[in-house]
Order: sequence, then structure tokens, then C-alpha cells
Amino acid sequence: MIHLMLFLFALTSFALPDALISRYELIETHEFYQDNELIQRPLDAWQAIAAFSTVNTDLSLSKVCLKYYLKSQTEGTFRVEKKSMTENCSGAGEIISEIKNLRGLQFQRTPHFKITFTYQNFSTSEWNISLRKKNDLRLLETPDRHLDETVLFVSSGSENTGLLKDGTQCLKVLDDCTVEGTSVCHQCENGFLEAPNGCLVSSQYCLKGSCGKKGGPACRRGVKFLRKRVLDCRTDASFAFCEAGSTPVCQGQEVWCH
Amino acid sequence: MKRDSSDLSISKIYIFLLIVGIAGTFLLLIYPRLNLRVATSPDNSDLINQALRESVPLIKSVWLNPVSHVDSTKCALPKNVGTAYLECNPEGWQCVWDNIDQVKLVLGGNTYHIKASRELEFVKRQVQGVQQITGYLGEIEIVELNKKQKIFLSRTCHEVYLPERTYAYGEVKDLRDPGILWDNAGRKLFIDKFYVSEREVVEWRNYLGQNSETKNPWKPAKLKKSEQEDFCQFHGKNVLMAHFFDATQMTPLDQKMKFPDLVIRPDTPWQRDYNRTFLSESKNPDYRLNPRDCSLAEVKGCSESFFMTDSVSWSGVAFGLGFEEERFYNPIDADLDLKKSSRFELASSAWHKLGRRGTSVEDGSYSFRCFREIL
Repeated sequence: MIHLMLFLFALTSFALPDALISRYELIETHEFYQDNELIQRPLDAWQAIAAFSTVNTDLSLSKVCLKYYLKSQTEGTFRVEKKSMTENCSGAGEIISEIKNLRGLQFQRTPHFKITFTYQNFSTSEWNISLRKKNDLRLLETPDRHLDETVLFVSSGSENTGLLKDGTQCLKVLDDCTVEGTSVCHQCENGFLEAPNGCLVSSQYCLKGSCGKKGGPACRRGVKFLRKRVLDCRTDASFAFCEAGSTPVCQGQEVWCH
Repeated sequence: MKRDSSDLSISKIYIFLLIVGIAGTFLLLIYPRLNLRVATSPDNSDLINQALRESVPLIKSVWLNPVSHVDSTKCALPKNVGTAYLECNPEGWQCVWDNIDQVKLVLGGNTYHIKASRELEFVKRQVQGVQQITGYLGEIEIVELNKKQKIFLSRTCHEVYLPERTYAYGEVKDLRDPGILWDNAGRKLFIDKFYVSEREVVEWRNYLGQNSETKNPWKPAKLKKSEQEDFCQFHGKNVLMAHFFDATQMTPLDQKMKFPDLVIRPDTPWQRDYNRTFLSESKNPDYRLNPRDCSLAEVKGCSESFFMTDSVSWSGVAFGLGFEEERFYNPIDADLDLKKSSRFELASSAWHKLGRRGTSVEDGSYSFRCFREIL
């Protein structure tokens, strides 16, 4: 009888979908629940437990939403939906996996993302989703090690979000050196260049070519070698330079070549 | 009566066993087939995920260091080509899978076997997505678990990080002259360790639909300035700048002091005192070049070698002096864009000094390398 029960339990458990095997980054997790807390509310509503990005064969990313619906405190449905990166998890998406009639669900965020499913017969199963770990940079370090992208699992699918055109600001840094948002410069169609502004991180623009050319951003010479606490383009722009034949000009705090 | 009742009981047991048997057969053989999409044993599904996760270091090892899996003599490399050529290169990957059928993965005391597709497809990302712009697609299989999985392999193992420091550019006439200093604080710069090879250029051209081939894929590619720019840009990079190259070659005096006021410029990547190098000694007409000299700087009289790592500098970047004439983008002195120190110059040539550069010929084709910045 025990064997029969185990077998029936086996029939009701689910494999980790390919889209989660090819996960890339954890985009969001439910902010309310603590690690391993049993989810018991709200009733009669879908809630997003977490969202991952997943790598498609064309190296684009899609969003995978893990959602849970509680019919009662002891009965819930777990669903995995695939969406485009710009979509919110709250709307309906392509259902790629579903587990009905769960008695309980818990998740933990670290050291890796783990979901524990409890079935009506009190048996449990787990999904373990390991995450990429960005490594600190040291001498002789390579980008693949830094980004943890030497080997990526990919799943079938594609997203048709075009690359960013030349002229798009892909990283915004304010004059007081505050970085706004995160860089999307790796999405530029023809590469990107920084416009030095005396900060450790400068504003970046999608642009083809090299720094220091007429009409483009200047090349950065540095921010430490001048031994100044504050670098102001309007008083001394020597933290950046242009090729011979073009002159450094301040645009706000940014140095461009004219 | 007793006998009848026991017969009935035996019959009941037979009927019960028959029902259990039929139900068992249904559950074991038929029901799983009806539910193939979702019904996987929990152990197996978790095992597949775990095995794939654990296979990553093994796949990385085949991709990044193929000679740890197969003897390099089986990879049809000439003796003058270093095994670094095979690292994160489809040729190295193919060499492994041509010579071994599968690699072993030990997991929880069990041994699994991983097979891989021999052919890799070169891909360039045309839409928004992962950090990498170019790389290769292939497929692996965990034999015992009957699991095939598509993989992406990146080709960045020959790029090295330029530590955030203050560096010197070019030459100075007087040692007391600080010359041009600069720093890369806050920047994550990665420099190509070797010259761009003919194989990479053929791969690029074929991707663009221009039929191209080479018999010496390990040789440094020689391209015109605009082609160099196009090649690097294709991979999300830029042509290496002269001051970045100097930084990779001039060993810092004090590794711990990252932003010093004064930076000493050594003349060679491997010896601060030029007078103690074979380049200086070779001014003696009786001096004969030895293999060690040629491995540090391939100068006139040396036999050619490729992808050897004996010449790497403190930062891991090879070919600081000698080897090929290399073109850079030099925004500081636009005309000084060519490393003249090369295999075409005698060891005694004055060109064999770090920071010393000449001018490239307009429309000339030269060796080059790229760099990338990661934010």
C-alpha cells in the first residue's frame, strides 16, 4: 500500500520546466513572505512568488513567473508562466507547468532558490533553482568568470526586442555622480561609449566607434591621478581628452569632443 | 460448510490479487504514458536538474581546457602552436569529442555519462538579451537520464582584466619626467590576451556571408584599420588603445599601491633593466639567440610560434615585444599607432622597448586585438 501511495505521489509531482533549467537571473521575489514561511493568504487570488529571466536559443531573455493561487488554506494551485521581459507577472501568460491540489507551498531565497511543495497526502517535493554568482574581479580574471556566463543552458523560444539604436543613453549618471538605474549598454546595436564626467562611473551612450573623435564623447584619462576630491569639467577638464584636431567641450559635467 | 467458506475466501483472494494485478499493470504501464507531459518521478526530475547543474564545471573544463581531456597531439596542432589555441575554441571542443565518446560525471556515488554535439554553431545576438553578444550553441546529453540540453558557450577566456590602477603611457626622455599618467579607477576593462586569429576572422566573415577560409587558423589575422574596427565592434568590443596596451605590459613597481603619483616605465615586460635582457646582450655580434629568448620576444632570426604563453606580462597579456607589428588606436598620439617591435626587427633594434611606437601605413594590414568594457 505504501508503495502504491508513493507511486501515486510520483505521478502527481512535476519536473522542473526547461525554462527554469535555463534560468539566468532572479528578477523578483515576493517581498512579504519570509524564507520557508507557509503561504496561507490571500485566498482566491493569484500571487507571484518569484520571477526569473530565462535564456532563449537566440540569446534573448524571457520572463518566467512562478505563481500561486489559494482556493482555501489547505488547497492551492501552483503555476509557471512564460512572458516577455517587459510584461508584469500579474497578467496571464503562457502556462508551461501547473500543479493543482497542493496542500502547501514554501520557498527560500538563499543559498539558492528552493520551492517546497506539500501534497494533500503530506508528502513533499522540491525544486532547486541555482543562481548565477557574479565573481569579484581580480588579476587575470576573465569576463566569463566575472559574469558566470561560460556555459549557459538555453531553452527554445525567442523574444523580438530590438537592440538599442546609436544615441540612446544606456546608463544615466547625474552630475553628483549618482548612478540612476542599471546599465543596459550590452543591449546597444553598435557598442557604447562613456562620456567622462569626473565620476568613477560616467554616463554611457550607445555609439559606434572609439572615444576622443570629433563629435563624440572624450576619452577618460582617469579620476584618481589628478589627486582632486572633486573633478569639475568647467574648471578643469583634464580628466578627459580628445584626439588631436578636436577640442574637449563641457556638456554639463560631461566632456565631449568638438 | 467450512470447506465451502474457505473456498470462497480463497476465490476472494484470487479476485483481489487479479484486480490489484490489473490495476498495477495499468498504473505501471498505461497511465504514465497518458501523462507523459507531467508525470516524472520526483527523484528523476530533481536528479536531471541536479545532474545538469553539476555538469557545468565539467563542460566548462572541456571548453576552456580541452587538453585536460585529450592529449594535444591528437588535435592536429603543429608544434609551434600552443595549446592555448584550443581553449574556448570550437576546434578544441571538436578535438575532445572526436577522441572521447563521453565524459564521466559522478553524482551521489553514481556515475553518469555526458555526451556532446561535436559541431558548435557560431551565434551573434541580434536582439536584447544576455551580456554576451557572440558565442556558440551546442547540445549535451546526460546518457543515463536520457536528457538532452542545449547550451551556449562564451568565447571570452582569452580576455584578461586590467586591474584598476594608475598607469603610465608611452616613453619619457628623462626618468624624472612623470610623462603621461592615467588611471582606470571604476572601469572593468578586459584586454585580449593574444592577437585576433585568422580563424576568428574567417568565422566573422562567414557569418557575414563572405566565403572565407584559412589553412593557418592560429596565425594572427592582418586587417586594415576599418576592418579591425568592424571586427571588434561585431563582438561588442573596440580596437585596443595604445595606453591600455602599455598598461598591460609595464609591470607596476608596487603591486599594493594602486594609485601612485609616480609610475616607473620598465623597458620590457619581463625585466626592468634593459641592459640585463637578451635584447641588450644581442648588441654583441657574438650573441646567438636561444629558444628562451625567442619565447619571450620573437625577433628576427627566431622561428615563428603562435598562441604560446611564455611572453605573457604581469597582467596576462602576451606579445609585449617582438612577434607581430601590432596596430592600436592611439587617441593620445594618433600617429604613434604601431608597435614596430616585431619578428622583422633584429634583437638589437632600438624598437624593442615598451611604449615605443611608429606610424602605420595608410591602408596597411596589421595584426591587432580588441578590448571590451563591462558595466
